[in-house]
Amino acid sequence: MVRLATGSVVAAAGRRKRRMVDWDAIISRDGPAVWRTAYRLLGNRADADDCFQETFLAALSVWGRQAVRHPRAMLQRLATARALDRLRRRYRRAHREGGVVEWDALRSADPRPPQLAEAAELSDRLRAALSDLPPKQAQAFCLYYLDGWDYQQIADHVGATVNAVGVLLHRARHRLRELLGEVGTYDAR
Amino acid sequence: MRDEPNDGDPSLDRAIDQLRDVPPPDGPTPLLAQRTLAMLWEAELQAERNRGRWIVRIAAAIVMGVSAAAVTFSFLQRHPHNVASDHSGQTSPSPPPAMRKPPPPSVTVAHGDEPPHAIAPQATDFEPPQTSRPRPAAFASAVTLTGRVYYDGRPPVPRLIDVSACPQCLAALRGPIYDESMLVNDDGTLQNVVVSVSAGLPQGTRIPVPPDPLVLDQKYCTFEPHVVAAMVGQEMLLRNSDRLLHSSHSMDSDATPLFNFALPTVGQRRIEPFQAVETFKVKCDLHPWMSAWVRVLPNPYFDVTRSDGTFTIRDLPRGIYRLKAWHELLGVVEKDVTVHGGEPVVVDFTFPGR
Repeated sequence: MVRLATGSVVAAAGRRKRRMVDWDAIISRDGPAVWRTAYRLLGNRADADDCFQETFLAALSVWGRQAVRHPRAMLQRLATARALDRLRRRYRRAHREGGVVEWDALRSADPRPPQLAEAAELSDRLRAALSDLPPKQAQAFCLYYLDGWDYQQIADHVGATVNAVGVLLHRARHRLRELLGEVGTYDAR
Repeated sequence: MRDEPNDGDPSLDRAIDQLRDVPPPDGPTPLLAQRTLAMLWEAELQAERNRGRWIVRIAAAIVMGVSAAAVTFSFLQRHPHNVASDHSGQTSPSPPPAMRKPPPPSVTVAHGDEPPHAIAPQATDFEPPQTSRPRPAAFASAVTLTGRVYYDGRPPVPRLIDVSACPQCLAALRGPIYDESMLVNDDGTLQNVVVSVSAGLPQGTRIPVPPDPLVLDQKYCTFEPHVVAAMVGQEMLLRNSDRLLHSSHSMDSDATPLFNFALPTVGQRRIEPFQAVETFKVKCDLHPWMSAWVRVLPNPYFDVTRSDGTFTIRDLPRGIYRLKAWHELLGVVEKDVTVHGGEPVVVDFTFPGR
C-alpha cells in the first residue's frame, strides 16, 4: 500500500472529532471585546487585526494547559499583553526610522478641529509612553484604566497581590506623568 | 479616577479618557473572525498530529526494547556458556559436565514385551524459522528457492485514487491511496507478482493443504493484500477492518463458489474451500476502485512478491521445474530451473516493458 499524508485529507478526517474548546462560540461572544482592547491600544485596524489573531493563538496554548473560567477576561489580558508588545516594537522602530505613519489618521482630507487634533495627539503620546513602561506595569495600567478591571481581577490574572497591583499602578502613573511631560520626545505622527 | 491615588495630572487623565472613551470602529470583521477560526482549527489539528506522532514513537521504542530483551533472553537460554566471560573479554572454559544444561526429556517407546528403551532426541542448536505454510512431509529436506521480479521499462507513476465520492472513506483514510495494479520500485523490482511452480513435481505426491485460511482484508478502503495466492482446498477469510460498509463480490470465477455479500462494519466471513485451479478478481460493489486478485494453485510452492520485489519458495524437492511468474497487467513469464539440493537457488524474472 502506498500512502502519503496530506493536510487536506487529514484535516477532513480530523475536523469531525475536534474540539474540546468551542472557538466558534468564543469568537462570536468575546471577539468584539478582544478586538476593542487591541484597537484602543494600537490605534489602527491593521495592527488590531494582527493582534486579534495573535491573541487567539496564545489562547490556544493557554486553554491547552489549564481550565479557563473567564474566557473574556483571559482573552483581554492576552490581547493587552500582545498589543503592548506591538506598541514597543512600533515605537522602537519609530526611533530608528524617524516616525510611524498612522494611516487611520488620514481618513479625511478635511482639517480637524483643534480639540480633536489635541486629543489624538494625547492618545498617541500615551501609547508611546505605555510602550516604555515595564511590561507588568503597562499591563496593570491598561487593564485598570482602559478595560475597567478592579484590583482583585488584575491581581488574579497577573499573579500578584492586591497591594502589589496598587504599587504597580502608582508607579505606572508616576512614570507616565514623567514621560508625558517630556514634550517632543515621542513624535508619533 | 476611581480609587487610585490621585496625583492630579490633568493631561494624563485626559489622555486616558481619550483612549478609553473614544469608540473604536466595529470589529472584528466577519472575514477576520473566520480566518482566526480556521487558524485555530489548523493549529489544534497540528497539535493533535504531533501528539499522535509522539505516541507512535514511544510505542515503537517500547516494542524495540521488548524485542531486544526477548532476543537477548532467547540467546542466553540457548548459549549460556558463550556469555560466561570475565571483564577482560576472555571467554571462560566450558563449564564442567555437571553444570551443563540437562538434556531435553527423552521419549520412551514400548514394543510389546520388550523392555522399554529410551530414544534420545536429536540435539539441534538451530531450528529453521517457522513459516505459516506447513512443510510438506515428503520433501522435508528440500531446497529454498528465492529471487526477484523485475520490470524492464519505465516505472509508471502510481495513479492517485479519487475517493471524494465517498465521505466515509475520506474520513477513514489516513492519507491518499494509489492504484496498486502496477507497483514498480525505483530499482525496477515489481510487486504483487505470483511466482509458482507450474510443472515438474513428481506425479501422485500427496501434498497437504495449508490449514490456515487465506486472509483478504478490506482496510482503508482498499483490499490488503492486493494480490493473494492459495492452494486448491484452502479456505479464504474475507475481512472488513473498516468501520464502514463494504460489499465484496467475486468476479469471473468458474470454480470457486460465487460470493457477493456485505460486511456492514468490522467483521469477517469464511469462504468455502477453493475447488479448482483458477484466477479471479474480487471487487467491492460500493467502492469501484477497490479490487484484488486471487490466484488458486495446485500446490503450495508459490509466493507473492513483496514490497522489495522478492519472493521465496521453501521446501522444494530436487528436480527440474517450470516456474511461472504472473502479473495482473503484464501477463506471464516462465522459466525452467534445476534444483540440485543443498544450497538455495536464486531465480530472477523480468517482465518486458510496455
